[in-house]
This record gives sequence, structure tokens and C-alpha cells, in this order.
Amino acid sequence: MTAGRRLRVAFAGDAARFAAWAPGGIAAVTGAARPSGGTARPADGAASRIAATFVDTRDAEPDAVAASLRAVRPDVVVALGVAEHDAEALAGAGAPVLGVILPAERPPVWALKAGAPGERPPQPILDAAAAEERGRLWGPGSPGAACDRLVAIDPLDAVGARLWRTIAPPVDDPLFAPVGRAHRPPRIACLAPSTEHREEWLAEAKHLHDVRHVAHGITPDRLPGLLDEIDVGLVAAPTERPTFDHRAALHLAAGHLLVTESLRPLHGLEPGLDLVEAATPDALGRILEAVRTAPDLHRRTRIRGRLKAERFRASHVWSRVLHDFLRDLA
Amino acid sequence: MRVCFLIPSLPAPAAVAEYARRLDAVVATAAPDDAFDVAVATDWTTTAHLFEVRAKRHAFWVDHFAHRRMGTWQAERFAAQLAYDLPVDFIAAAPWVRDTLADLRPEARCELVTSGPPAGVAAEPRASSPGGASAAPSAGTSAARSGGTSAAPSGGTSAAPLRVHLAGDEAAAAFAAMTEPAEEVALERADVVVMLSTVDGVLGAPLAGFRAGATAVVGPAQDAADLVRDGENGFVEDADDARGAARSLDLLARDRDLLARLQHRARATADAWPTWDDAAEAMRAALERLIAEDPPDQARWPVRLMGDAIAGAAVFKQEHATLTAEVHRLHAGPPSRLRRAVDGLKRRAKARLQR
Repeated sequence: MTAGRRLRVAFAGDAARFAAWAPGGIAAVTGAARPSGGTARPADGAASRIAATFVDTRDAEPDAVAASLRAVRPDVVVALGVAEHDAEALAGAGAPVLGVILPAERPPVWALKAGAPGERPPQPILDAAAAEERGRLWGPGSPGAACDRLVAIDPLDAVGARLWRTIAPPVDDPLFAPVGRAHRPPRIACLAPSTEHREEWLAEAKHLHDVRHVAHGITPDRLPGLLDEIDVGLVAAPTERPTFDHRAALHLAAGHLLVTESLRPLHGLEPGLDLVEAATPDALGRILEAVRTAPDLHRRTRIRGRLKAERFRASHVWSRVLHDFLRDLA
Repeated sequence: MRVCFLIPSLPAPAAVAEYARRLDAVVATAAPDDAFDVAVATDWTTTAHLFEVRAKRHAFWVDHFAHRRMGTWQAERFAAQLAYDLPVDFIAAAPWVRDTLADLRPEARCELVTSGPPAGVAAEPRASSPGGASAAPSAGTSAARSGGTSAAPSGGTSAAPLRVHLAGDEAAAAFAAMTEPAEEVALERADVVVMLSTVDGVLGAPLAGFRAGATAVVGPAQDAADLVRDGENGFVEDADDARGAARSLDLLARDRDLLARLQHRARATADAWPTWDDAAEAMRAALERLIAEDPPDQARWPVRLMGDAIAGAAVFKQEHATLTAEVHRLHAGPPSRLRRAVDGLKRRAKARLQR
């Protein structure tokens, strides 16, 4: 089907959240003002065997998304964060669909409202919300059911789904940067939405150190500049369950010192060598104290982490996965 | 040229023995009394004696990074890291080692001397035909499994099960997840070698497998790119993706034409690999270059050593604090059945003594 030419791929998802996942995604969605509706822009990864286009689904009607996808005439569609897609839009794309499963950052609003103000909802309510979410995702007529195959970064995010395989966390190639000399004082940031668990983990660090918490989303046009300013990236799971947050790969690719809670799965990363683990808020405080005193203390960790991040280049990850995907469908 | 290889203990590692024999070098576990042109540490532990050897140059032959194979809880881990900060010249045993050292020690000299093939497997073409027609089931020595959802073969026929050699702990999960018929065999009988390490080791069993006529399914180990070209002479899988590795194995089991193509190119890769004679000549030339010229000024001092020592200690301290907190948490919890049983025994023994 694609002999002699590159694979045409339409990456579909909320650009604010997923542009950094596609090869050339950031450049594609920041190339011009984003009109309303599903909008497709070329997003070629330079060294890739694929010709990528990003279709922004944020605030877009399903019909508009389907039309944008069809207009690309893709060989394959990648539905990033498949839970947020419309099943009919995916079914109407006219190409095989690979769905990428991601965990919800927060429980549904109705579950959050079940708790007293400022308190965590009871566990049975959260469990019921998770079960309802799974039913919504994988049942008949669901976006998950509209996909030909489903992949995940953390297989535990796909409980109840028919998971095809686990993939490495892809990072847009231009976001990779060499390890630079740390600023004085070091610039520390957490680029993740605020959740109760994350706030608990960050509380002491925020109190004792100058930690910048960008909790309300980062538009793709701001992301490269923001990554350039940071020396240390803090990553915590949204809930108590250890998982692999894509931002961990993002920080390593950008040459930052990555300080995380326990990551599961590790995707080949080695705690203590490629990143520094902080299991508790106390531990995070101690690590940041040491980094503040000697900003280049963990320079070797940054170098090793940056070397490992080569495995996460979006052009490389998607080329392999998508060619395997089409081969598997044949 | 008088060369001394320092080894941790006897017998010498196979690669060191190959070099020592061809270069007529001294192999020692401690600093000899003699003087040498160059002393070469061959393991991180031997760097403890390296500077006791009277030599014009001190070098470190690196075929892997020892700390990568250690857990965060092992105190040796950060000591092992420091070995790579010493003011030495490096001899890298593979391109991936050279590239890593170039990032970690850009100021140091590093010579690439690719090691010869691993010992133990003859480089003989086997009487194996695509399609598995010659694959006789092995008795006793192999674990066989058969799949339940075989798809129609897309290439050559697949009458016999795929013969798989499992190297490393991670490979078993991929083998178990296969749906096509397969059997576990010794390396010299394998159609495919599976090694899913994310650290290193691809230049071990998979390279030996290439020489023996097999292809390989490997993990994203640091040395994977030195041997395996994905889809050309084998498959490179993502980390933590046993399902993906199983699907590659299923594909090879179904499509014997593809298997034969990969095996053919794998064999060509193995044939182009340096022999031990080639490697020894390259080692001789590299050592002569190191001796002929002074090392760069910036590499004369252990510039990064103390910084890395402090960082390593901080990471280890962190691990220690986490483990200590876990122990305290367990102690603070309800007494275990074992603890209650021990307390009961103590009470009974005390009562008996009092009687």
C-alpha cells in the first residue's frame, strides 16, 4: 500500500495536550492561528518514514473531525487519548485507526462532587466512576470499539480493553535539546494539572523551594520556550497508583533533571541513573535542597537520561509502531 | 610494547584472554612489580589497583557499564560509577560504549576496538530450512508450547514450531504470550534468539545466534543498535512490551520466508563482525596510539569525580531513607502472625523457666 512513499498518518487529538506526541506536531499546530473545527496541518518528522498531519479535535464537531481526517487521505489514523474521541468521527475517517489509551487526569465531576468540600470522595465512589468510565470506553459504540487496535504507555491504563501492545512514550523530535549548564539558582517546574495527590507530593517542595507549577495547561506555542527555561522537571502520577506520565519522557528529551515519584512501567529508564526518584514529599524536599545548593550535582544523570530519551523520538516510535500495525492488520 | 591487563580474579574473562594471548601481555589480579608501557583495567573493581602499576599510560577497557547492572539499593553502584570518572584513556569494546563515553567524558581519549564474537557457538551454517522442515522436536531439553489462534501463514509454510532460544529473564514473558506453535531450544538449534534486556547483552547471545544462523528479537538495550537493524536482520522491541515481542515471534512463526530473509541478513552481519585476530590488531594499534601521544591536559585530573560522588551518595541516601521509612511503617503496623507466634513462644519459654 505504501511502497515507494512515506506512510500518510493523521494524528488526531486535543492539540493542547497531544501536539508534543506527534512528529512535527508542535510546529504543525503553532504554524497559524487555530480556526474552529477539526483542522489538519502537515506535521512531517524530518527523519521519519511517515508523513504526519495533526488534526486538532479540541472544540470540534465530530462531523468536522471526520471531514478533516478524510481530507488528509491517511493510510492510518492515530487517535491520541482515545477516550476523548467521538466513535462516529473515527469510524468515518476512512482508514484503520490506532487508539492510544491514556488515564484520565481526574475522576468525573459527579464523582468529585460526591465528596465533602475539600475532601477526597469515598473510595467506592471512585471505583464506581472508574468502572463506568471503562464501560463507556470499551462498550459497543464506544471510541475504543471504533479502533482497529489499542495501545497504551501503561498497560494498567487499559484494564478491561483488548490491548494490542505497550508503546514507548513518543516525544516530538524538535523538543529534544542538549543538556545545558543549569541556571543559578536552578529553575524547577511541574507541568501537570493539579490533583489532590500531586499537591500532596509537591506541598513541601513548594513551601521550601521556588517551584513553578504550571497547572492549567500549556498551549503548544508556549511549550518549547517553557522547556528551554527549566533545569529540573518534577513529575508525579495524578493518583496514588504509580504510572508512567508522558511528561517524564518530555523532560528527559529536553535535557532536564527528572525527579519523579515511582514510575511504572519504567520504559527502560533506571532510577538513580537516568532520573532521581522521590517517593515522598520529604524526599522531594531533600533532593531539591541538594540541587539548589549545587545545581549541576546531577549533571551525569541528566546526560544519561537524555541519552535514554532517544528511544522516545516520535518519528522513531511511530514509524515502528504504525508499520507493525498495518502489517498486523494485513 | 609491554601491556598489563588487570582482572578482578582468575580465570581471565574470555575477551581479555583473547587479547592477552595475541599481544603477549601480562594478566594480573594485582599490580605486578614490573614496569609497563600501558596498564589496562578491565573491570571497575580493578581500577582500585590501576594506578599502582608502573606504566606510561593507564587505560580502562570498557565493554559495559557495571553500575547499569546494579540496583539502587546496592552501595557498590555509585562506587562503580566513579570508576568512569578517573583520569584514564578509554578503550571502548563497541560503538555504543564509545558514544556513551563521548557524552559522559568528552575530554578523555577514547579508542574504539570492537571485540570479537562471543565464544562457545560455532559459526557453522546449520541444516535448517525455512519452513521448519528440518526442525526435529527435541526431547527432554526443550519446553514446547502451542498456540490456539494460529492465523494462516502469510509467507512460507510453518509446519514445525518456531524454535526459540530465550536469553535473560524478560524473554520468558514474550514466549508465553505467543499464539503460534513454538518450542524453546538451545542457542545452536534456534531459529530466533529472544533477549529483551533494556540494559545491554545484545552483543552476547543474539550475536552468537547470528553466527549460528538465527535471527533475533531484542529489547531496546544500549548495544542493540550495534547489531540489530529493525526489520532487516531482526526485530528491536520497545521496553516493557512483551506483547509486541510475542507478536514479532508469531509473525516469524507464520512467515517463514521473512524468517529466512532475516536469518540470511543476520548471518551476513555476523560474517562482517571482526574476528579476534582483527580485534587484537586493532587493540595493538590503539594502545600504540595512546602511548605515542600524551593525553589531553583536561583529562589529567578527575574533574567530575567528587561531584559524582556527592550525587551518588545523595541518591543512595535517598534509597536508604525510603527503605528505613518502609521498615518503620511495617513495625508500626499490626503484629504479623510470625511476630505473634514468636512472642507466644517467648512467653511459654519464660513461664517454663519460672516453673
